[in-house]
This record gives sequence, structure tokens and C-alpha cells, in this order.
Amino acid sequence: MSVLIECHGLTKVYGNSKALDNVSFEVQSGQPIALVGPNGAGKSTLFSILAGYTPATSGEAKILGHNVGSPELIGRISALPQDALFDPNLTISQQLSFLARLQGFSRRESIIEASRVLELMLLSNVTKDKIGALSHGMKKRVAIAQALMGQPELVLLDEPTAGLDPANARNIRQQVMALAGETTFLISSHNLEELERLCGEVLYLEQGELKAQQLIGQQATQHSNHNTPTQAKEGTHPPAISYLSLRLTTKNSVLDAKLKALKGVSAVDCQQGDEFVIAYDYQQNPILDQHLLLLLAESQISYRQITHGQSLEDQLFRK
Amino acid sequence: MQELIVSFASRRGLFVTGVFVITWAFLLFYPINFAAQSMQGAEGGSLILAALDLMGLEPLKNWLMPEFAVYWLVALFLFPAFSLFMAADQMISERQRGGLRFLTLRCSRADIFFGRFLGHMLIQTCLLVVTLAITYLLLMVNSVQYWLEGLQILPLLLLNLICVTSPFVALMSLLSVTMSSVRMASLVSVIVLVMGGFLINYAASYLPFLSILNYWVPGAQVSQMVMLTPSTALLTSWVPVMQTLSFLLLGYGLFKRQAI
Repeated sequence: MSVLIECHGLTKVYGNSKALDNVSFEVQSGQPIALVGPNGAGKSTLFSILAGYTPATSGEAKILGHNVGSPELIGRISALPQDALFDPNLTISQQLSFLARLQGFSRRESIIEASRVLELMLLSNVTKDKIGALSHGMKKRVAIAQALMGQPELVLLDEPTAGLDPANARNIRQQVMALAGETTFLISSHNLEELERLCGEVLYLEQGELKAQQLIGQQATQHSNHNTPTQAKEGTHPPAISYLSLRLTTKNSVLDAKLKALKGVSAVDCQQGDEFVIAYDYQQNPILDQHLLLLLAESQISYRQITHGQSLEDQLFRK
Repeated sequence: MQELIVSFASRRGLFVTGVFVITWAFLLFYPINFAAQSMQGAEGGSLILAALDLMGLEPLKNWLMPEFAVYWLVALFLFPAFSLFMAADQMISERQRGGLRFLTLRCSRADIFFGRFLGHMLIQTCLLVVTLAITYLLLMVNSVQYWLEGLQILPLLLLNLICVTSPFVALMSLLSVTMSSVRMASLVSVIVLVMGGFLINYAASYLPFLSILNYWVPGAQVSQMVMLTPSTALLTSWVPVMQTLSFLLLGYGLFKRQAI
């Protein structure tokens, strides 16, 4: 693995407001990376800076060792820009093959490449259509298709599945997983379950500041404005406390006490009566999951799901 | 090639091209053809020649091929005017809908900016070649004995008209970066051309050194070129070349730092 993205003191100011405030981090190439945060947190601004669409007010951002926007990155990174539309006067095939030609494909290869990525997005039937004839979801899939052309080393996907039907959202997740070995994806989304399934690491932005950077399933590293990227990575060591997440089929008010009595359990957090997050010492009881199954069987309590670790939502938002 | 497809595929592109074709078809087959025939004849010719005298365009009377003389007069003014509208949307619509974002990850901003300029210059050159070819056909119909002289003057006319048109296209490249709508870019270009000279002269009456800015008003040399033969007119080419380079460098400087 090598350093993919390095940001040092990245700040972007629009008028009187700071969209990004002294953001510093480093991420390695490899597993997909999630970028999360509430609306207005600065996710799209960070994407725009990394893709070279907009310059930072101050600070430095490098991808694959080159400053963003430099010619060395041409063809090596690609992006799904938010709200960008294709030319309404040309067919989908004409536009994608033109983009492929800009990436260095020959005329014949560019047509094949355009067909390939449209097929990945299950859009082979619209190659001769113009963009105006497509639905919102289909337009988005065409935009994702262009991001998958060639062999980019980094793909920036800004809200890739927002507005898509479940079947197509699933297809996009599958494509990301299939390509994850050769391409690193940085994915911005509000769908935490989706990110949890796809990504190995998460960056959490809030009000323009990087609040946390962590491997998914591990303890968050809290960032301050003056954290260096090195400090950020140091915080991703395996934690002393481990977690099990349990979801029941029905609410149960007495299970809480029984869970606390299990060996090694240090805390139990119950949500809405049917969801439990169990904090425990792994060294003390490495087979707590088996004990938990026994307890549920003995108590005749049916469960929906048992997961090692916390959900991404719990990791980021549970106080 | 993509530039040509985009220009002619859009509704606006088709409209401007349609207007261009109709205008030039009318000009070539009526005024230019009529004026050329009249200048060769005895009766009508005297009227046309008197009109040229009245407009201060006596040198045009000395042209061996009146078809090209009238074409020269018309093209020097019409091509720049058409190029303003044909080249108005080099990037504005695409920037507004975010389409430039698909391009900047695949080629440099310099490629996009200068590529668009060259694409539109290629369109203008194609149109010039077509109109010149038709004018040559008219010459063949009216005065076939000048076929060789006609061929010799074609490249000179083409080169001159490319030079004259280029600062107008470059001005639209600059306005494509700075304006937020095609309509506004067209409007500002007309204001620059119509009011530019007036404002500079007014300012120069107080600060005389400002009169040098007249060199940056596109088409400033056209009225002088009409009086010259195409070969002599090439000597004034440094003005449009300088204007073109100035507009392009300024436009690229802005585009390089622009958020898209």
C-alpha cells in the first residue's frame, strides 16, 4: 500500500464562511474510503478540491504524490461530480467515447470502452439516446459509467447511490466491490450501512473540520484542527475494548442485566429495547459471541443479527 | 471534430449556421454577383463606382476581379460579426451544467481552453473556404479568363480573413470564461466593440497615453484594410495577432484558476 491522498491544512473559504477548516489527513490506496458528515460539512468541497475543480484557499492536497490538478494525474483519477450533466445535444455513446478518446483510447477502442462501462451500469440499451431522454437515476448511472472508464487509480464518488432504486444501488455497490482491488474509491454518502459494507476506512467531516479518521470497526481517532496526518494514522491501532452488536426480533427489557453478567462484559448500551451494543474485554473472554448465543438459546430469545464490532453509525455518533 | 459536431448539433448552432448560410447565399448571388457584373459593364458600373468613391473605397475600383473586390469588402465586416455569435458559447453552457468537470480529469485546462478556440477558428476557416470557393465559381462564370489570378488571390484572402476573425473568436474565448450566460457574453462583446473605441477616445482626451488601448479593440484595423490589397493588408496582421494573443492569455490565466 502507498500513500494515495495527502492533505495538509486544507482550507476553503466562500465569502465569510469556511467550507473547510484546516483539514489534514493521509489515506493509503487499497480498500474503499468513506467520507461522511452532515449536510454542509464540506464533503463536496473536499471532493471538488481533490478533483481539481476548485482551488483551495490555503493548504496543500496531493494525490499519488502530485499536487491536485497537475497534468501527472490526468487519466489516473476520475470522479462522479455532483449535479454535473452531459451535453443534451449528443448521444450517450458519442459523449462517452469522446471522453475515452481524451483518455488515450483509439477511435475503435473508445467505442468499445463506452459500451463496456455502460454495460457495467446496465445501460446498454440507451447508448443511442440523448441525456434528456433519461430519468434522473439513469443520468446518474451514465455519470458513474464515465468515472469507471480506463483504469483510474482513484475514483471519487460523490453520493453515488443517492436517488437510485435499490436494484441499481446494489449493482453499483457490486461494481465498486469488484473493482476495489485495482482501484481505490473515495465515496461520499449519507447511507452509513452502505459505506460500512463497502469501505475499510472512514473520514468524518463536520462543519468543515475533520472530526475523525478511523478504520471501520475500530475506535475513532478524534481529530483536532491541529492534528497532523501522522497523528491521525497512529490512532488506528487495535483497541483494547471490543464490541458485539446484537439486534433482536422483538423488544426485551430483561436481557440487559443478563448481558452485563456475562464474563468480560464492561458495558451494555440498549437502544429502543431491541438493539444492544456490548463492550467487552477480548483478552478476558475471546468467545463472548458463543456465550451470547448460549444465553439467547437458554432464555428463548430470538435474534435478527449478531455483528462483531459497532456499526459505523454507533462508532461515529454514539457519545 | 467534437467541436464541429457540438457546434452544429445544438439548436443554437444550427440556427446561427442557418442564418450564416442564408445571409451568404443572398450576398453571393445578388449583391456580390450584381456589383461585380455592374463594375464590368458600362451603365450600372458607373453607379457602383460612384458609390465606392462616395464611401471612400476608391482602391476597390482597381481590383482586377470585381467579385473578389466586393467579397473582400463584405467579408471583412461580416465574418467578424458572425464569429461573435458563432463562438459565443465556447464553454459557458458546459460550465453552467458542470460538463467541464468530465473533461478536466482527462485533459489539461490549457487543452480545453485553447482547443475550444482552435475548434471555433477551424469552423470559421471552413466557412471562409466555402464562401471563397463559391466566389471563385462566380468569377469562373463571369470572367473565366482570370482563373489563374483568382487562384492566386484565394490564399491571401483566406489568410487575411482568418487573421481578422481571430481576435473576435479570442474575445469570445475570454468572455466564455468571465460571463455566466451566452446572452450576456454576446451583449458584452457588442458593447466592447461599439463603445470600446468611443470610451477609449474619451478617456484619452484626458490621459493621452490611453489611446494605445485602441490597439486592443478588435477590428480596429479593418477600415484601413478595406483600402489595401490583400497582400498589403497582411502587413497589418500584427494588430489582430497581438489582440488574439492578449485575449487568449488573459482568458487562460483566468480559466486556470477558475472554479468549475
